[in-house]
Amino acid sequence: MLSILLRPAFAFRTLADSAEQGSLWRGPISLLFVFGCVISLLASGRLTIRLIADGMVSFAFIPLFEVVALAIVMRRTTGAAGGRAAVRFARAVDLFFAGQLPWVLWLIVVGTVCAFVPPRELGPWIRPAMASSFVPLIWSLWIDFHFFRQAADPPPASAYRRLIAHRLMTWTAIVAYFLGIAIWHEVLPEVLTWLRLP
Amino acid sequence: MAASAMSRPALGLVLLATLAGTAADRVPSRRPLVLGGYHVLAADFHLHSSTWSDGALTAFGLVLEAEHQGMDVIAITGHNQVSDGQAGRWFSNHFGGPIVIVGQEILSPGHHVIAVGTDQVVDSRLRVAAQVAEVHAQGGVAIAAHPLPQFWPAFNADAIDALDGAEICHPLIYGNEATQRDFEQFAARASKPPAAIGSSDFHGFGRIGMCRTYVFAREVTADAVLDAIRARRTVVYGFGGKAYGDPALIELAATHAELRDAATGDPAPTWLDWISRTLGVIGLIGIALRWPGTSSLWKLGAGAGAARRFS
Repeated sequence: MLSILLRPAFAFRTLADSAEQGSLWRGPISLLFVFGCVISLLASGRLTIRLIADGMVSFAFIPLFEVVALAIVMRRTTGAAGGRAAVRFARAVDLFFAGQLPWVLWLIVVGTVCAFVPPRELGPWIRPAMASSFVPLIWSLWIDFHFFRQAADPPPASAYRRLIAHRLMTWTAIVAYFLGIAIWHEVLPEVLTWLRLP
Repeated sequence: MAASAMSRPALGLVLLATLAGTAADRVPSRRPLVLGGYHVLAADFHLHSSTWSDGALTAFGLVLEAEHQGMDVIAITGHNQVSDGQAGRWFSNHFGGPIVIVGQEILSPGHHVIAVGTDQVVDSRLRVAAQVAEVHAQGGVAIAAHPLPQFWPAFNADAIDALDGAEICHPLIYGNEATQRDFEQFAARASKPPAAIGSSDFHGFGRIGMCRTYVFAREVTADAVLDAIRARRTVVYGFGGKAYGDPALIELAATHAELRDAATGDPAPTWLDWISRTLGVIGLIGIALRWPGTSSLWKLGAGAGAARRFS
């Protein structure tokens, strides 16, 4: 875990070179399982089959959008990556979701707080919890950059392009789905105010 | 496939935690309460699903969770849409659960209004009074959602008098006691007090019914619940257990301490809950430590020590 978090270039190079078989489902389902468990802790303070399953269904759109966006940005990866054969798509999905560890750790921290702090005392915790999401947001950018360098294409410019394209596609789709129709009335005025625009 | 990839001891802990949590996850048994000829129903009129409304549970999940939290009535209030409320009502009608009333949280830049009992989307671009009129035309009731001072300018005298209810209890009051006073001041501006409403505004954090409304309804039906709100037959317990609503009904409710206790206290966790949350968190940390897709690093001995050796 630590090498993915702290030395992602080395970790992805090692993983891409290994003979380990890739899986399209392993990473996304593992991430969804963590989502389901954390949602269960948030909503009831315990793990239940009912809430884990519901949380997995509720947040299935996140890995779905991520895999679709990954397929789009990696569609031209047919050549070599740093003298090595570029990894197959299933393995690329596997490696990409291995890089989701900052988000997994953040989810576990939020779930732990919500499991052990009584619901009526949660108020002061919610803003810091939301604000702390900037840590995995930035951390995962760095990790994903190394993923695109090692698993897809070695030139940094190409990795940056893929990273930006992937982020734009996934975050646009995720925010649009999650906030839905409300986004225009809720988020847009906030953004305009923040940008000091009329 | 994912399960086989995870650390087995960690997954075992999570499974044990899930068994303990599922065993503790019971629908509370409550006898129907009738006071003064009214059915006293526990209601939460402000819930959000994960479909376009930044909630954490599906509409079906909300219905099941509300039942497990002892709710008799809920309104699923999508952000400027009603489809998840309709899905929840369909689920409850077919599989049982609390009464589900379709609703909408009308999100406008300067104010939020909860529409309960509306099957058509109310235009969020209208002014408050026009939105309330549209809600009434559909046979629903309109409730001011978390009326914080920044929303007050949108509610002129006509608009505030047209409201059927206003949230007086909302999870925000538990983070800041001044918020309770803001809600009181808002309700006091109306020439005729709006029905006191307690809502959890549930997005995933906290509990459904954490802030609840006791509705004194003539029948156990959605229409009777809406009638009770129009007639201001509600009781809500806010910060510190202070009661709001119809004074005669507050006196009636005071004869049953369990109403106040359920509304103001977090249910004490059982030993199964403690096992579930403790083992669950430890198990999740274990799963993160051996995150699927990284086993080659461990086989090569490059797991925990890699950062040190290759730095």
